[in-house]
This record gives sequence, structure tokens and C-alpha cells, in this order.
Amino acid sequence: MLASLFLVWAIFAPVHAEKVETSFYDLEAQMTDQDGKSISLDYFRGHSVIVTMFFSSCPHACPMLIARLRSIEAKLTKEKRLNARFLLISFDPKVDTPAALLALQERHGVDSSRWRFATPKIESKISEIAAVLGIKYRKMPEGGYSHSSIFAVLDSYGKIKYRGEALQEDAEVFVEYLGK
Amino acid sequence: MIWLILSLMLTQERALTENPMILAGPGILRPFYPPSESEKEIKVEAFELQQHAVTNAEFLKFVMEKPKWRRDKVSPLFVDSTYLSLWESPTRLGKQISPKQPVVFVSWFAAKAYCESIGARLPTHFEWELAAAASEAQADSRSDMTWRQKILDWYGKPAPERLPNVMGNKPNFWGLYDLHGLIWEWVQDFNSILLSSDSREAGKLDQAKFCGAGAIGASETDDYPSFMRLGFLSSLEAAYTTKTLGFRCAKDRMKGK
Repeated sequence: MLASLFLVWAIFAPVHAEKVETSFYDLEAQMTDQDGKSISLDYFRGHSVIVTMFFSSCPHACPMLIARLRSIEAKLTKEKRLNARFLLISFDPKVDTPAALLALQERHGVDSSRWRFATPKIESKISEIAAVLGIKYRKMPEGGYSHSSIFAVLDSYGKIKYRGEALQEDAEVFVEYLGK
Repeated sequence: MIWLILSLMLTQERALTENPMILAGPGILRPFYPPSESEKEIKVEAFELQQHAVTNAEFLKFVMEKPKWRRDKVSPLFVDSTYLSLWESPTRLGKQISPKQPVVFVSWFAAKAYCESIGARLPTHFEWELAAAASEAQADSRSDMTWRQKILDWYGKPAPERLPNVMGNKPNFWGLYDLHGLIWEWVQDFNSILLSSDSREAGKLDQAKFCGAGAIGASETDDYPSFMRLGFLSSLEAAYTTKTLGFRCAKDRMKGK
């Protein structure tokens, strides 16, 4: 009985504790999005967000990443979908100009009100964002980037609720955490 | 505004006269574990590296100037719970430690922020390895068995209760102190050194994480110290802090030097 009371407390108590926990948004970074607008990392604060990293000239993995995100989006209930957002951050400041990002958005036909493709303005911030998300990447000598594919699910405060292998993990898992 | 820039320049200047940047390289590195087919030989451009590891005194100055990095103010996103835990208080070193000891219990995020505050960056793994391949007499000493054994002996010893001060040993060929024998050091790309060009080769990456298995793909099969560093660095997370892990900063080579 006591234990179950504690459980109830544990579920409801974090409402105010949430603020002192770590947030992805403690990392401050300015980015340029597909519309050429300047946005900060916490652009989607207040929403439930999936964040991942990519580069637009990537031939294989990145189109799969986007397809995967779209299938997650399609599985969301109407209610969850209203609050869900998708933030894709580029490794490649040289190639991923707003025009390149916009072309990517159009190619994949995603809803621009919920999807942001963005490139950090200061290159050295990219490694910090990757480190916080647990994404490993390396610029390859022959061009392009080698990187791990991770989806991080953030709550409205930016706390990382879940981090999983983007292409191997069941889409349902991300669906489950989105909007939690 | 001008005043701000001037004082910023002065801060950078001061940091660099205390712990000057020393020119190292250029050189060729044959990585113990080549990350890809085209990287069996790596040309490392000449670069600059701080003479010694960043000290407690230097890091304290940084923390005073950027309170966001004080251990009582920093976001737990960037450091774990032991960050700067040897210090008596968030703003005082105390009697137990020396200002001239290398700062340890610092995370990659904190090290990176420090280097950026003096207009520098963390060295890459390849830069660090090139600098560390030098003995007192030679730029590349990796085939010198006695020298190599000395490093291995240090790796085999438990960390001393109290770390020595920096510059307690002789400088190496480039004029750099304590790349071996004092602490481990963060590098910019600590978590991505083993990434290959093809993510389908991810299996390879796992192999390299385990001792021995990696040696199959290795080029200098007997350069075990380098492999140990690789293993250690690859096991870290960016917010980790430990009692034997510090850092020093690097820069691209200044034009005209």
C-alpha cells in the first residue's frame, strides 16, 4: 500500500522537479532553418520533439531517417500529432544552406509547420549538440560524414525522455514516448 | 565595445603566456587502427599545442570569468557529479591541491569551453598522437622499445593519491611536457575516432572496442600504448569526469611562424 502510494507520488511529483533536471535546451545554439530564418535550439520548446542529425548530401542513411520519421508521424494519434515536432540538425554547414534544406523538405513533402531542418551557425556547436544527443559522427576524408543514427525524444522542457537507434528500433517505441 | 575586445584579447594573451602554444608537426601518422582504407597514413599539418596540461590555477581563472562553469552553477547536461570535486569550494582550490597540478575531473564540454575562451580548441586525436609520438630526442619514437615500455609501465601503475605538478618531467622533442606519465587528456573527436566511412561496417567498430580483436585491422600491431589510449577515449561520454583526465588546448598553426 505504502509502495503504491509512493508510486503515485513518484508519478505526479516531478511536475516541479522537472525544471531542475537537465534539458537539451541548456545547450545554447543559433541555427538557420530551411526558410533562411534564424532559430535557436529551443525553437520547439513547449512541444514534444524528436531531434536527430543528418546531412543533406547523404545518399543512403539520411533519406531512410526521414522516411522513418514520417512513418512515426503517421502512426501518431491526432492528439499526439498536434503537439509533435521534428527537428533535424545538419552536420554540414558548408553544403546545408537554407536552399539545400528547403529542397530536402520539398523532396520529402513534410509539413513545414511541424518540421524544421536547421544548420548551426557556429560550426563548433555541432559537436556539442551531437555529444548531448549521443550521436557519433566524423567528417570523412573522401567527403561526407559517417554518423550514428539516433532519435532523441524531448519533452516540453527539453529533457531527453528517450534515445534510440533510429533505424533499428521499432517505430512504436518512439510513438510511445512522443507526447508523454 | 573596443574596451571589451581589448580586455578579451588581454585575457587570451595572459592565458597563453602562462601556458604558451608550442609548434608541433607536421608529420605522418600511421594510426594503430586506421579508421578507413584511405587513412592508413595520416598527414598531420603543423599545429600548436599548449606546453603543458591546463592547471588548476588556469581553470580557476576561467571559472571565475565564466561563472556558468562553476561546479555549483553548471548544467548537469555538461558535467557529471564529480566535476571539479577536488576543489575545496566552487571558487577556491583549497589546501589539498596545488595550483600547478593539472586540472582533472573536467568534462569534454568544460575543456572545450575553456579552450574556446582563450581563442583555441581541443586538439584532434591525430594531432595529439603525433605530438605524443615524440621522445625527448626524437619526433617519432614509436619504434623505440625502451621508450614505449616506459609509457606502458605508467599505464600499468595505479594513479597516485596526489597528482604531481605539471612540467615535472623533461619536455619532449617539440618542447611539450607530460604528454605521458601525468594524466590522460581529452581530444576534440574522442568519441568518433573509430567511425568508419560506411555505417554498415558498424560491426568493425564493436570489434575495436574489445582488446585484441582490433589488432586484426591494426597497422602497427605493437604500438599498444596508442591502442590503450584509443580504448580509453572511446569509452568516455562527453560529460564524464575522472581523477586522471584533464586536457590542453591547440590551435591551427599561426601564419608566418
